[in-house]
Amino acid sequence: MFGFTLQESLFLGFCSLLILSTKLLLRLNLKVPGHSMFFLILFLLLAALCVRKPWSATMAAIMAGLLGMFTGSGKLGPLGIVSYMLPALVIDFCMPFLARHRKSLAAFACVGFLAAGARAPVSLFSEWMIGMDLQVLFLSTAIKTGSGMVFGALGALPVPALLTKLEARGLLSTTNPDNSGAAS
Amino acid sequence: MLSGASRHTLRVSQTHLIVRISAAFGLSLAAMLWHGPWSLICLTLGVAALGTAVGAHRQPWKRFVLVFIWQVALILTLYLLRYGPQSLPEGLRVAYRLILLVLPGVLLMRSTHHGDMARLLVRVLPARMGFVLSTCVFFFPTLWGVTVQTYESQVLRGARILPRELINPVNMGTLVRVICLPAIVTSLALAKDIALAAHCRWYGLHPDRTVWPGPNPSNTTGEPRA
Repeated sequence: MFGFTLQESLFLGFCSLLILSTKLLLRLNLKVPGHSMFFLILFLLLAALCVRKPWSATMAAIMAGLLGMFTGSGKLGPLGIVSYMLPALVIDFCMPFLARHRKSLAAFACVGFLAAGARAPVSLFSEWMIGMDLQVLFLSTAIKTGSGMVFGALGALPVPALLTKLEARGLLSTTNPDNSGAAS
Repeated sequence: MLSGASRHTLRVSQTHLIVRISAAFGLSLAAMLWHGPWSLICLTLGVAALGTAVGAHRQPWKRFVLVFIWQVALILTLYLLRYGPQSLPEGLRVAYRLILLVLPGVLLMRSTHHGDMARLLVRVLPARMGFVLSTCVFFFPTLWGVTVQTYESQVLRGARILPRELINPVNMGTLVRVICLPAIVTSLALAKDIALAAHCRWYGLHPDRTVWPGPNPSNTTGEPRA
C-alpha cells in the first residue's frame, strides 16, 4: 500500500491507534492544554524512524485521522485529518536531518517543537473564518500552540533512547521489506 | 476503549449516514462562511435539528461541554483583556460561532456507530487500506490489553505513572520507558505475526480484494479469488 509492506502498514496502523488511545486516556485524566502533542510527536517519530521509508509519519497520521473519524474520538471531523497530517509532514521533511543526528537530543527536540507548531494553521484558519478579531486570534493560537510545542519537544526527547533499545534487541530489522510479510 | 461511542448509538443505513455527513459538513461550512444577520439563529436551528435527528439526548455530553467551556472562557478572557468589557458581546458571538463550527462534527461522530462509519470508509478507500485499518481496529484490543497489564504491573512495582503523578513532566519519562517501549515492541511483533498469517493465505496476490480459501467449495487448493 503506497510502497509499504503489509507489516509496515499494520505497524503504522497500530501507531495511529496508540496515538488516539493515549490522547483519549490523557483527555480523561489531565487538564493541561497541549498535552496530547507529547504522544502524538512521540509515536509519529517512532513510526517514521522504525519504518524508515518516505512519508511513513504522514501515512500514520492519515490513518490516525481516519480512525479518529470513524471511532468518534476527534472533535474536528475531516479537519482532524489535516491537524494530524501537518506535524507528520514536518517530521517526514526532517527525516534526512534526523537520520544524520540520530543521537542528538537537541535535534529531536527541535523537530518535535517545529512539528507541534505546524498545527497552528488549522487553528488559525478555522478561527479566522468564523470572524475572530486578528489580535485575539493570534493570542489564542499562541496560547494553544505554545504549550503544544513544549509538549511536542518533550515528546521527541525519549525517541533516540527508545530507538537504541529497539535496535539493541534487533527489532528494527524486522521492518526491512526483504524479510517482512506480504507486500501490500 | 475506542468503541465507547457504540454504547449510545443506533445502527443506520449507509444512505442515512451520507445524509448526516452532508448535513454536518454543510452546517460547519456555513458557520465559517455565512456571516449574515440571521446566520446564528438559522445555524442554531440547523444544529438543533441535526442533534434531534441523530439522537443527541442519548450521549454523555459532560466531557464535550467542558471542552466548550474552556474555549469560551479563553476567547472571552482575551477579548476582555484586549478591548475591555464593552467587547464581551462580540467575544460571545465569536465563541458561539466556534461552537457551531465544531458541534455538527461532534454530534455526527459521537452518534454514529463506528462499524457504520468503517463500512462507508472502506467503500471509499482503496481495498488494502480498508483491510489494514479494519485489521488494526480488530487486533488493537490485544495490544491494548498487554499495555494495560504492563501498566498495572509497573504501578504495583512502584513506578510513578498514576494519572496524578503524570502532571509532573519528569514522570512522563518513566511512562515512556516502562509503557511505550513495551507497547512498540508488542505492536512490531503483532504486525509481523498478522502479516505472516495474511501472507500464508496469499494476501496481496492480486491487486484487488481476495478471500481465502474462496467462495467455491470445489476450490480445494485455497487459491485466492479476486
